[in-house]
Amino acid sequence: MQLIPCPWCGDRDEVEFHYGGQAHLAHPADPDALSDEEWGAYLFLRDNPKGWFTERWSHAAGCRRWFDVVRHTVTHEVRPAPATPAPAAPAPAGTVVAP
Amino acid sequence: MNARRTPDAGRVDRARPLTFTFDGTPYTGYAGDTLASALLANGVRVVAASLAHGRPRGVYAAGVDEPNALVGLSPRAPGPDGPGHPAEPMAQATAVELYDGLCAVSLRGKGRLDPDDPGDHGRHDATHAHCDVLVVGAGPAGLTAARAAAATGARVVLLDDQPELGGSLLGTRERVADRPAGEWVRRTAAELAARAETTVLTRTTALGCYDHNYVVAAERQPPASGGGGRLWQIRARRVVFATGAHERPLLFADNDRPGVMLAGAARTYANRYGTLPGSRAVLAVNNDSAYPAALELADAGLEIARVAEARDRVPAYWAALCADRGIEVVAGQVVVGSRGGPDGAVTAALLAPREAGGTAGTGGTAGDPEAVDCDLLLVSGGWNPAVQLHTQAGGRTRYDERLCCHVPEDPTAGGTPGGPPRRVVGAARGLVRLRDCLADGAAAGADAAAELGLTAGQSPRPPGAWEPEPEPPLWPLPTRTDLGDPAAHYVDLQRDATLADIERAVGGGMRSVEHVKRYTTIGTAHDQGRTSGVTAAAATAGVLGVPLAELGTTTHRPPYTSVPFALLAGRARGRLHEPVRTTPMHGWHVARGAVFEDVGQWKRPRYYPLPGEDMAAAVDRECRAARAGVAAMDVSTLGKIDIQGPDAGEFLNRVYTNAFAKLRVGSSRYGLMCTADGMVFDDGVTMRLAEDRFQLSTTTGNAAGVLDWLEEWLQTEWPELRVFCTSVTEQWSGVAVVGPRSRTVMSRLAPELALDNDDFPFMAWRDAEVAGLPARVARISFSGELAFEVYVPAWHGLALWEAVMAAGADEGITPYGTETMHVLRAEKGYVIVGQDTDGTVTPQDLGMDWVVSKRKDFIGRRSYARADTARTDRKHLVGLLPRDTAELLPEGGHVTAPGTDPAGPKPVPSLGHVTSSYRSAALGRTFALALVRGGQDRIGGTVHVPLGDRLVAAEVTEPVFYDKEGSRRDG
Amino acid sequence: MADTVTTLPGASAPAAPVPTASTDARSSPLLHRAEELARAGRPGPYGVELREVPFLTQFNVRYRPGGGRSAPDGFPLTPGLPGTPNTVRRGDDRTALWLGPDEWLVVAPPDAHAATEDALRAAAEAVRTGAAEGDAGGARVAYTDVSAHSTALRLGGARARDVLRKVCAIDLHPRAFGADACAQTLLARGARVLLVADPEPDGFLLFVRASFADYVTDWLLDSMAEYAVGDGQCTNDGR
Repeated sequence: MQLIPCPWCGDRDEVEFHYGGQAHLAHPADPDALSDEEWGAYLFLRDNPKGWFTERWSHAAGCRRWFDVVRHTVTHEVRPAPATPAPAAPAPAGTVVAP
Repeated sequence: MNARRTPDAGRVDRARPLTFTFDGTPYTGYAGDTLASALLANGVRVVAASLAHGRPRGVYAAGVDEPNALVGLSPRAPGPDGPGHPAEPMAQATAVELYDGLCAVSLRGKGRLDPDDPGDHGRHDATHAHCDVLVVGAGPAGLTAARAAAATGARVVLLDDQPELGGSLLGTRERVADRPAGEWVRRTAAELAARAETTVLTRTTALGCYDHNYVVAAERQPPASGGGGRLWQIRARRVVFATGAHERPLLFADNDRPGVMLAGAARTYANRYGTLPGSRAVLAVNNDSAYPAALELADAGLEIARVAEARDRVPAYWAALCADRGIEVVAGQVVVGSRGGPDGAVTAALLAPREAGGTAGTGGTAGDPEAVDCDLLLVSGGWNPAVQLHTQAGGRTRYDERLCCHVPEDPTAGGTPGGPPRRVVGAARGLVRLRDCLADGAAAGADAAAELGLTAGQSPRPPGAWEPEPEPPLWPLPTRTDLGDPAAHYVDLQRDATLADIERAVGGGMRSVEHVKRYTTIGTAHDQGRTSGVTAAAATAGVLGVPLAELGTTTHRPPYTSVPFALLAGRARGRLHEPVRTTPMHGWHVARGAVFEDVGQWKRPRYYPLPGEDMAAAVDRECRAARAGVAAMDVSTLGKIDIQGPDAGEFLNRVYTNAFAKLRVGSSRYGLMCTADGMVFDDGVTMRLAEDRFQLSTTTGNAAGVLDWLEEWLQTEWPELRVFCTSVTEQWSGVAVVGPRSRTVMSRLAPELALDNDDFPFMAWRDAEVAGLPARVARISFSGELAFEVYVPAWHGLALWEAVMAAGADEGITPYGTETMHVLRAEKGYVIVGQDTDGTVTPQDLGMDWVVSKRKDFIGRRSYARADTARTDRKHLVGLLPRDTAELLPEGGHVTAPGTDPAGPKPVPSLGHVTSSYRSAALGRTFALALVRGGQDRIGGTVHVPLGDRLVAAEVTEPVFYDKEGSRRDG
Repeated sequence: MADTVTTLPGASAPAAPVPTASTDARSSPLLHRAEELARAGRPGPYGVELREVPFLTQFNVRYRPGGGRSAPDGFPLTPGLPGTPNTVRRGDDRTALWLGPDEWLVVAPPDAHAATEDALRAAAEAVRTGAAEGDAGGARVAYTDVSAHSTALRLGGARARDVLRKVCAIDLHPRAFGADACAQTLLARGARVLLVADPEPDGFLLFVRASFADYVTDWLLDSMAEYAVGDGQCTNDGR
């Protein structure tokens, strides 16, 4: 059971989250401008690295926020993604926040 | 009665004798015994026959490394004599705590589940624990680690699989701080018990260490409580593995006889259980740890006939102590075989001088073996650190030439690089001296706490940097390929796998220890190769002629010891298994005798049978009521999402295939949602409550999924949209009042509400008082009939339902369930997302082009121009009318083209499958919906559905069967 | 239930008296288990008690301040909205619980429903019109009545934490879950719950969706069983 660092709620068991796959895949602003191949790549093609991977999670059973983490697909080491906005206030005392 | 007991030694309680039977013979032991120690005390030498070869075997070890002494325990019902005990199909006698009335039988290699045993004696449950420092193992290193961590105020959990703390100290006569170790253990245990933030768990085995320091441990209830246990799910910020070590056996011919035993085990039996496992012993050793064993056994009254020391030289310290007691020690001597008596038990050890310079795989002997009479042949080949938890958590090991075993590569970083900090301490990292283990544990406990910012006022660490002291070199394992029959050199006693099997595996071309393991099955038995793993690797290396260090080791996997399924299941059985969701009207449905259906986690009434009715009859009756009179359904389970904000209309325009921005307040609209690949995802009716507010409904099983989906787009793609989504699924309870007489019933319930078609048209909604309750009424129909859906705050749901039933009583209002709902909607060709679709179906495939806007962009639109979604031979939703009007097609049945032979070459070409199939009261026949390749072009044609060994012919039709003009919705 | 009777004018069917529900005839999700809950508890130093706290006024509040600010300090509703994740802010008659960075649950007694709704309406209006301090630009606000969406269970007594941790994976130690803590998490095998520390006296308030109330109650009663019988000095005493 992995611990996923929600930027708001701190570390929680992964069963509280929904996995959102690879991060930073923006929905194309003008889908019609894309060829079928490009649109197909947006829909279906994802990186599958052995190592560090920036991915999206949603704290579905908690604060319902989407956020990014950087996770190592071999060791499952997890870090908050640099782009994740900082919480409005620090997590409550005693909450473990991943380095 | 206990012939082998020492007069007074041991930790068994001689004031509490316990009776038990083994293979039908009654025996007596004491509280504190294991079954194995009690059997040894009674002089039982042969405890089992081996799995494959049927060879007699005796107790070999004193813990969970035991390969031989496998027993089955009979269940016992609770009674006046004591608590009940569950059946245990297979256990190690060394790990079974003796209890009064225990009834054990020996097993030949494997146990057998008794299908008649209910297996639920005792209560199994689970709990969670969180701590700063988790220490696994309460031996010397674990105790000092826990003590040092606890001294900082850290939250500490210390667990150990034994009934009392102390680990190896329970089985030795060592001293700590110049006092008996037992005294130190008691003091330390008392200190830990006094710490408010420290939890000590005995009889608790860590089964596995998973991601991010999630450790699962099994706690057994003491035998006096009648079994049962608790599963601990521990999340630790730091973990210290103080798991100790298992003694390594030696490999020689006939090394499996009863009476051959690990030297440390014999020491434990003497010191902890006051039991001498024999009367005259030969020790064959290659390391220092066997000497205190020999000395303590001699002091306990065991005659030591010989210590055969494989090393060239006997350490002077031990030599002197042995000489004091008249123990003969011969250096440079190894055991090469054994002789046995009529029962197979050992009668003599065969000892031979070791050839100088021998190493693993090449060790030979010089000269003829000498037979030394004994009834106990104690072996010690060194110690294998118990690195199982460390490695299955991702930690690496390296082969240590000096210790001849695998030790943690980095015992202080533990785990994976950069992973959550774990430490391996004491014997588990290869330390052999008690003082080293004590210091190592203390340092690790303090360091682990310090990493979390916790320090003790007074550091328990010894002053100055502490380093483990070097040890004298050990001789590697001799593998005796030149002496005796390799098929009598037992590597894995439990699997009956021998050196000959390893030779066969290597001869067959296997080079990896993992392959050899699988070929020979070495290490795959109940004991998980604790005595055989390293020996097998060394033997393989020897046969291959490669250094052991290059060969590596096999992977350890959880659980560390076998665990009852009853414990893993815990309380999560029956109604505590999966969550069950119910509506406020649930009690009414139950009282009315409804048969329920699981829809997601919801319990929904499927139909309400009257006495004597089967489902078909009940559904027929319910359908007739809805089509000809009035019927009511609990629709509370539909997902509901409150959508607020100035951009709510624009947002819905983007997520639905059809337009919502211009929907009028007071109206509602059916909408279809697709994923970006254009496939149908969900559908439902959305009401516009205000300019900036909508209430969206989802399918029952997909409410959470839709809310997540909406949030995903709002948060990650369109943060500029001023929209908030809030689930209100259970704020509102709903009743659908359906049928031509529904307006009459509604007029009684809501006399102030104008119900005619002009004032309250189809797809409008109104706030009104219904049965005196504040309600929202919508003219929505999922049946094609005139219908009203009435929603009230959920705490009024039951009152509303009862009022509706009362108001319609004289109209014969009929409660109906999901089965009738399915028939009614299918007659109208209304799809159920998830039943008639499966994530590969577009709106166009469903014939629902009308709901796909051509004038706006929405999620999925671009995909309809893809070649795959634009082709004409996709599977389309069509109707099927079996030629035999009584034939009910099976849902999921394959649809084949006429002329297809289901008995022909496989795979039989399939055109698609039946998605929905019912008997229709309104049509007077059966009908079905199906997804059929190129279905729209097959309308009017015939397809075949194989059913058993028959082919059922059906006509392909439009997927609307009833009231195609839609004339009934306005009553 | 039938405290008024209406006769339907012009109905074609025989004019039978039709019972009309009273708005007082509310049934809370655990009404049918009240006696069972009362029986299951055990007061005293080793005890644990469980009861339903029905019909609480609950509003889901969404608020994103304008002007690039993120803290919800300016929201014009007493006792204010806590900005610290997973904490509550308690007022005299109203408590605000953090649900998300722009989402709160405002809880009040059952009889304060109308007053709370009025206060929220005024607060939202003030935000929308820019009357609230500092919210001149682009503030977003919404509120939704969710009073019937969830019911509340109060688990109290010295053993409350021991009971709860059997079904809840988050850390409930006072160091991690203090007197002003709340958390949305999962209970047992996947029931969503909002857990709130309820320090007066020692205990927890659990907001449970109405549909899950029976399931959660079944689990809590099962977990309480070992503390609710005998002398409470069970095998796991003190852990």
